[in-house]
Amino acid sequence: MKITQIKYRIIADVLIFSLIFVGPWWLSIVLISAGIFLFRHFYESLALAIFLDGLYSVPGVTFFGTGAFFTIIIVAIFLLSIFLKTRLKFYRV
Amino acid sequence: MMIYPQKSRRPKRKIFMVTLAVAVLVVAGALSVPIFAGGLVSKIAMTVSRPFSSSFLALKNNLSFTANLIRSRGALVRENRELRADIEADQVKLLRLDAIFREHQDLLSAYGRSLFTKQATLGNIIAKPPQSPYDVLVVDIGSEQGIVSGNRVYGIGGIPIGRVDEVANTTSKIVMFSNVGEKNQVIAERTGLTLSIEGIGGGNLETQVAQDMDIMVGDLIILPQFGAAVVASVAAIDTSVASALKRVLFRVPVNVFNLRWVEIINDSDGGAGK
Repeated sequence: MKITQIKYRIIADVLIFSLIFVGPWWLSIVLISAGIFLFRHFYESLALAIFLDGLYSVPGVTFFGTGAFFTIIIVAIFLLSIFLKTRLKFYRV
Repeated sequence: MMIYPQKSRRPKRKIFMVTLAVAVLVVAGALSVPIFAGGLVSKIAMTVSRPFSSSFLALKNNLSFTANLIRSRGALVRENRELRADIEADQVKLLRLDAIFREHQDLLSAYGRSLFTKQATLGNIIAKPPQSPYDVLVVDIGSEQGIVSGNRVYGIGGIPIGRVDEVANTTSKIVMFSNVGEKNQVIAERTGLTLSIEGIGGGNLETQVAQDMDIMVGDLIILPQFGAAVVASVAAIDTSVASALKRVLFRVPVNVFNLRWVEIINDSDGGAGK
């Protein structure tokens, strides 16, 4: 379940970063979420979320004026993953 | 007798608390500190994205060209025939529209209100929906090309689509009229009624008007501050007998998902109108 090899992690980072520019926004969220669950402490997800908000959001205009759509969603998934990882039987921390 | 040491949950709890604190700080920062979206992070993201977006865009165009090359000959012939028929029909329409457009330009020029009296800069769109969850476009021209926040933006063909919001050195963000929550005062061309419309995303806008208001599907709406150019047309009217209001849905004439180029009018007054 958990991928520990650093090379897979780097490949995933590059893939997700590339998809930000070519793929639909929801695919970025799905892949970042997958990364959060597959890798231990996937802190890159927070950086990617902030990057996505920086690139596409307009403060005062988008997402109820906050412009933090991706950051809020990814932080919520990140926290949920910590909760789930410690409680799921088939997930070995 | 085997002794199994009890697993301590303390380290896990510590990790959770630290991560929670970091997460709360990130969200609080994103919501309040202007270095996130709209600030330094936004400028960095826009600058960093330019080479990547341009490269991926070029790659995507090359791939679609290659894919077209290997398509079956029969399909290409059929498509060719259909396109020729479309072109012939469009040419007839274009002849009529050209004459009307020239007349419109002459009239506007006579009053010093031509659509393009100021310099227009062509921008290549490097990010658009569905990459962006909003009706926000990122183009490859910025302050180095004289773009400033508030500049008016037109699609190819002179159809107004939005305004420039954030500007970095070589990139700019454009907020389209159809972006969720974007409000504008428009005029219905046929009746002259003033409406307040709001973007709902995906190239769509909406408003609510009284049941007895004279508005019908196909009516065009114009923006006075854009030289009275057409911004959208009525796509549907949702009438409910129980309500005193009816919901009117508008659609912008350009396809947000197929846009490739935009024209930005470099007026130093920030597009305050003419």
